[in-house]
Amino acid sequence: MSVSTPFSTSSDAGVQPRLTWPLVVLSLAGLILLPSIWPSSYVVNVLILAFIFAILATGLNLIFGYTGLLSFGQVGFFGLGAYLYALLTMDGGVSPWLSILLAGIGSGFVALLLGYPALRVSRASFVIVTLSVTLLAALLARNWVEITRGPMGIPRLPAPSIDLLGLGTFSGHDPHVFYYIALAIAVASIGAIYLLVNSPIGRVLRAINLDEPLAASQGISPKKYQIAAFAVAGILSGIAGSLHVSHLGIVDPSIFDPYYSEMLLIIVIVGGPGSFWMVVVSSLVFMAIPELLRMAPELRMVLFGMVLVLAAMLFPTGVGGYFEQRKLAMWRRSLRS
Amino acid sequence: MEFFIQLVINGLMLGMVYALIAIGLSLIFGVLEIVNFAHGHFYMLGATVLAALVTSAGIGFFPSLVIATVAVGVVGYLVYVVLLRHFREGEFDRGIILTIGIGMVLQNGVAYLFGSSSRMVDTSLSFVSWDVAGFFVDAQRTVAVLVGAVAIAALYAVLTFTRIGKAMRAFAQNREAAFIVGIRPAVIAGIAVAIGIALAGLAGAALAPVFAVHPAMGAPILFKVFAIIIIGGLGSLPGALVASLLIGVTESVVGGYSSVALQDAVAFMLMIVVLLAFPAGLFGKGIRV
Amino acid sequence: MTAILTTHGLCKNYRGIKAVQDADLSVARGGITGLIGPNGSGKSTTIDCITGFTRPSSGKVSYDGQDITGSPSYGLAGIGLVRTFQNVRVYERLSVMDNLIVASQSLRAHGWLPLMLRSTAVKADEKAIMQEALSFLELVGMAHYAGAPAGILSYGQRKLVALAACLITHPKLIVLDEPLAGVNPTIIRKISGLIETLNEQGLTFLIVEHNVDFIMRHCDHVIVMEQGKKLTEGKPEDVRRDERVLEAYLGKRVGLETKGTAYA
Repeated sequence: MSVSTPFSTSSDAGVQPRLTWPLVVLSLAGLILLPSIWPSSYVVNVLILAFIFAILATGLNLIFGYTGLLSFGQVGFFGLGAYLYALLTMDGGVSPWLSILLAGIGSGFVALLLGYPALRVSRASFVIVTLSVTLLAALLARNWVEITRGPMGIPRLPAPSIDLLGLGTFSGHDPHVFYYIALAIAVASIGAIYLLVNSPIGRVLRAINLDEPLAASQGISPKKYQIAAFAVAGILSGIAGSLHVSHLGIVDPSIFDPYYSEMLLIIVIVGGPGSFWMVVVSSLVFMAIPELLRMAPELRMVLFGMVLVLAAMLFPTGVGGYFEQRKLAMWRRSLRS
Repeated sequence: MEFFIQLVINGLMLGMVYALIAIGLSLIFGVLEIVNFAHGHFYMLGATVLAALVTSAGIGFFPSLVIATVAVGVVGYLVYVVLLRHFREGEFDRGIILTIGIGMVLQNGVAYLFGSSSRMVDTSLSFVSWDVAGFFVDAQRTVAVLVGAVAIAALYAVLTFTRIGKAMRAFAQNREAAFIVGIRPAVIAGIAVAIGIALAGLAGAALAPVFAVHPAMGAPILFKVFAIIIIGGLGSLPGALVASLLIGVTESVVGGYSSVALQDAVAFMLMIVVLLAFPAGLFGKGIRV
Repeated sequence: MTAILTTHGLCKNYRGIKAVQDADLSVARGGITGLIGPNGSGKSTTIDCITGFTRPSSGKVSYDGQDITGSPSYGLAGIGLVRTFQNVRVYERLSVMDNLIVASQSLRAHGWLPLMLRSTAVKADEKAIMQEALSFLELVGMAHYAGAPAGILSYGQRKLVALAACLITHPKLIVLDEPLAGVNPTIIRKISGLIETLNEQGLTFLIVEHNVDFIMRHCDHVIVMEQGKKLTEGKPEDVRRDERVLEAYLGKRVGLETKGTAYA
């Protein structure tokens, strides 16, 4: 028996169907053209939210799916980024574009500081510490009134605008303009994470996730990589948060609502932790569902809860994991023959 | 000084309630190694069932308390049989995802069926307070604390003196030990889960007349109790009790002298300090997950 | 021969149980040292202490002239000390090739940006590592599985991949924790042959193994542990005749002569 060895340099035992790249390019082209084909600002707004969640979910996918640490801090960094954006633009006089960048860096920096105590004990304590940080952030937002303006929040936030030389300035307050801003930032940040997880670093992250003692015996310091991944995921959350409130035009403590955490978790679990594109697709799908499935919000959340229960019971690896199982089965068959 | 003592008394009462929830959570973690994210929602369920019994069905407070506790315990047992039973060791994340899903179903299900507004429960003890040696003692809270103390004492007796209780403790230490005791692990774990969840239901039911009852009431208290079991040491029942009382008193004192915001934050800040100084918690056995 | 690894007064207590007591061990450079003893005699704890997986309660571990007592496990591969695990560990969801690439250390020396963007230096390095990995996989006879996920391999095949993953770190000393347990005679022969070959090329081995026949045939020095203490040490033929060793094993009703019949 001889099997040729087309071993993947991309380290992808997690399987992308062969059609991935054409599909990605095609979808991207579709998304760029969509507002001209279907100029409903309603559709545009739903998609903007989907882009923001795709950034957020890709961050959680990095820290949970690839690195194996279930973080409830992502919504905390999302809110932190949102407040940083508001404070930088309103009180600091920083431009919206730079504020988005700084909001990302600031959130990443806080994640970096937090990573060490959170990872000190066990995975259980990591979950609880990251959750607590989100709750603490919400408490701060509500009560540190001098800075955050308390429950009323900070209204009239500016949006980034695009200045095309000769063609004039396009304000981000127009949903159709903001659509392209959100799309561009989503492509850039999700693209960066794609490069990261498919680089040798991503391979090491997956290795740590699969077998931490083995990785340590090979000279890899697991904590260093885990904390770095947590910080990068924090940057993504911060960017998503700042983008979100620059679109809404207001930030208030409801940015920390459990709704965001729950949706984020569902998106990643159903898409499949560690499956890059499936999680991105899942973000788009789950943001569109509430618009397609018109029902009482409580009933919808009951349904989503059941989806989580079913996913945890029957498909712990999500849709993406299903493809991986199939590839494994294929390998077994080919080695048997 | 009198103000301080009053705060300590209030804090011990609050701590007792935390303890009821924390001990149940810790018990479930001990036998299944699952962090039950739905635990707070069972507390909410207990409060909701009691509110329905007292307000709508006109049943007395104490019979309702028993019915609500048993009902929540039965739901907990069913959750074990249908879902949690299928989990093996080391499936830590799956357990969290599953229990978050259960919590979402509970919270939003109750909101859908009963509405999401706050409801007050009036009992014969409402608005009654006692003057004990010059200190103000709220009757309804005192009843809740006494009920909690009795429940914790009963649990202690069960764990120390009964065969199933000993089996539970052995099981939490070492899974194989359960076979030696001669009780099937599934039976032990099922009973432990039912008891743990019933305790949360009891806490909710006992406190329903004190706090407003609403579907989202479970999450905030659950998160605080998470901090408590980290401080006490994951899986340690005495640790959960001591940390609960400690946090209850600290919160009450901080709230009395400082701001309510700081009061809510104190448990989380203390948790992070404890994690840095004593990674396994104050009473931790250093369980590794 | 000089020692590459020594321990002095190594002790490890677990909640009052003395797993290792006062162990003075020495592994000669360029040799194959066997570490044997009945179950629970402290062999695994000893190598966990040596390889940084548990912190000794007291005592000293020196490797290649450095004090490595209590240094974290991930600090040791860089100075040429690697190990395998009792229940073999591989990254099941990575391909066999990726198992080796992860283990290799040279890629990790690059900065994160060149790694992410796959700079030409990174690409060249990656290519070289893949060539090297392939040659090690050929050595252990697993080259045609290079693209397969490690999770589909049999237990014995995983042990071969784990050994190749050790080799790609360019070690000086490999600590093997029961390399033969649970594998079939063909792979036992394969692994034994590999250890001999690699040793001839200058690699030092410390091997914990229950298969006494293997230890007697291949080791040039044997250390026997019992109840956390070093019972005796010496040449295989001397140890074999040692009354105390026989007793330690016979106490477990396993004679040295009857053990390891699977080894041909």
